[in-house]
Amino acid sequence: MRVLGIETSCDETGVAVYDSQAGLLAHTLYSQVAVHADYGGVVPELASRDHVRKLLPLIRQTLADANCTGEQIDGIAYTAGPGLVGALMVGGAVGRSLAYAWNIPAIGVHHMEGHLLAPMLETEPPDFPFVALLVSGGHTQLVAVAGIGRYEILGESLDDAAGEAFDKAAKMLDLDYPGGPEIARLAERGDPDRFRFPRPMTDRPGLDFSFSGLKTFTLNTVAEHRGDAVLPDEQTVADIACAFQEAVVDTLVIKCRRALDQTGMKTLVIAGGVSANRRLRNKLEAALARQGARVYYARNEFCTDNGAMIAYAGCQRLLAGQHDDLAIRAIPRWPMDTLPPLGNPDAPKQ
Amino acid sequence: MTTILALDTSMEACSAGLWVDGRIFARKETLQRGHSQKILPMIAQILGQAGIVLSEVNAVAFTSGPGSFTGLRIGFGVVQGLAFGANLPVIPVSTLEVMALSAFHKYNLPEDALILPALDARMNEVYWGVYRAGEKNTTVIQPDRISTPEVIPTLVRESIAAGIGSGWSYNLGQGISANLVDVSLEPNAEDLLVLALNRYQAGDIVAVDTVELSYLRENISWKKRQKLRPESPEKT
Ligand SMILES: Nc1ncnc2c1ncn2[C@@H]1O[C@H](COP(=O)(O)OP(=O)(O)OP(=O)(O)O)[C@@H](O)[C@H]1O
Ligand SMILES: [Mg+2]
Repeated sequence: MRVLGIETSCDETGVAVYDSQAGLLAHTLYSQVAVHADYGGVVPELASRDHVRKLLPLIRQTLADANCTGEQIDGIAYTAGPGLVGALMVGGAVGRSLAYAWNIPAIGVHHMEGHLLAPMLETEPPDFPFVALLVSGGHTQLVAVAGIGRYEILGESLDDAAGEAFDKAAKMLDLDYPGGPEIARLAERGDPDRFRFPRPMTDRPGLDFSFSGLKTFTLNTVAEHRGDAVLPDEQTVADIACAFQEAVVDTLVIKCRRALDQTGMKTLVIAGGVSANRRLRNKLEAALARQGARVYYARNEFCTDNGAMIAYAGCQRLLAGQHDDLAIRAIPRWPMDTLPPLGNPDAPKQ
Repeated sequence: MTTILALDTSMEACSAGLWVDGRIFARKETLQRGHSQKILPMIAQILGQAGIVLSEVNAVAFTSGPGSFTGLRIGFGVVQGLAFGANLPVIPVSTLEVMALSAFHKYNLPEDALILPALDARMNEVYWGVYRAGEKNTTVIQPDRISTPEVIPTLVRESIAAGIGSGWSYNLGQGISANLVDVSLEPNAEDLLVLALNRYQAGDIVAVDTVELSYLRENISWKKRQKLRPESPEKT
């Protein structure tokens, strides 16, 4: 089965063609980062307007790259949620109606299921069951994954998502948006022993997260060291970035180990934008090796939003016989544990 | 044989229409939200009723603005999918122009009557234009634009036969003489079909890739990213 995947849930327009036999045939991505850079965050109306302009040309290009015509596509998968409702609506309207025009099935995919399954596109994919750490701009969740659509949320952030915390800390340090890669870059030049930031909620049991205190701590540290200037000196900024990243990474590592202990599983999958973080990957690999477990992640470009993960996730569900009616689905808030399990097409769908 | 498909989701009304050589098939519902769930089933219904498949359609017409931003994008997104998928040309039509023709028919206005459709753009602004309507066509007298309500009387000196649309709830009538006012009139796909047919016959069709929506409002104090997760408290 050959599936066209469309992702427009936030500020990237992603399109891909995935073939269940031949694998990923093509994928393209247009990032709106420059559009939103001046605002320090994603502006929903601007995001929607840009998706409208970029999506159709990207679909044409991706089909051409995949060397395939519309007649060779067997199904369309688009991100139905969660995300910005106006942005979701663009991919949904185009995806659903294109499937109607081509007379093929369409399916609305859960964006976080897309992230979660992205490592399946790699040459050495993980086997079920596993624990997944979803760490992105909007989510920080630990999920026990028995199979596709069989998710149990073990813990999540009570306030900011980890990626969001990176973005906010970056803003305090006058770095560009998105802040995660910027902080990671600066942290390499930072002195890890200069500051020690708290590891929130690690001193008590449980698998929930909280990153808003870390934000305040960062703000205070900046204020203490900037004197009369707008920002502390360059080295201090790097030291703060380093301390911040260490605190987030350590917190994530501690909770991942705890989740593996609690479930008795030996496989961890990390997915979402923050899973591109090198320090997180390295520390997890070291920590898990010690307990005989293994960590899997997607290549960098499939950690952040992309069409390939949506094409892959949609293909699995379409292969199992699931598909939508003619309604365009855009579900801004959509708990992942309400998804129907694979292999049971009659299960009620949200 | 000429077959034109038309759809409108620009305002609260959600409608689809099909012209098949003089026969019209149409569906219309007034909805606060949920256009995204209704529009494709409506299209499938009228095509089915007419016994037409999408590839037999000659062109797809739609209201390209002004209107609700999300509503315009739903309509245009569907048009993009259909037009690309079935390789069809499109006919974008001003929402205000369709309203002008609707008023002409609804109130049996004389040929050459001037009509001023206006839509509430919120934040004390309206989208508006001035049209001269006829049985099958309209002429633009003042092109669509956005302005404060107060500006309109300074730009419109002519006597207006009909003031229509939500923009007239700003009491535009105080500065402009209008013979009749109907604040609740909305565009519909049937009048859109009439205009679209005319354009089609005049060869006035375009490739879907060349179309841009006319939001008219380009600068507003854009709201920052909204919260994506349900459980969390509002961000500051
Ligand atoms: N190397 C990195 N280190 C840390 N954070 C990173 C890195 N690369 C990207 N990020 C962060 O990842 C986030 C973007 O990830 P992603 O695109 O998956 O999130 P999103 O789509 O905005 O949110 P969601 O998937 O929850 O809807 C940003 O917050 C960004 O700062
Ligand atoms: Mg994402």
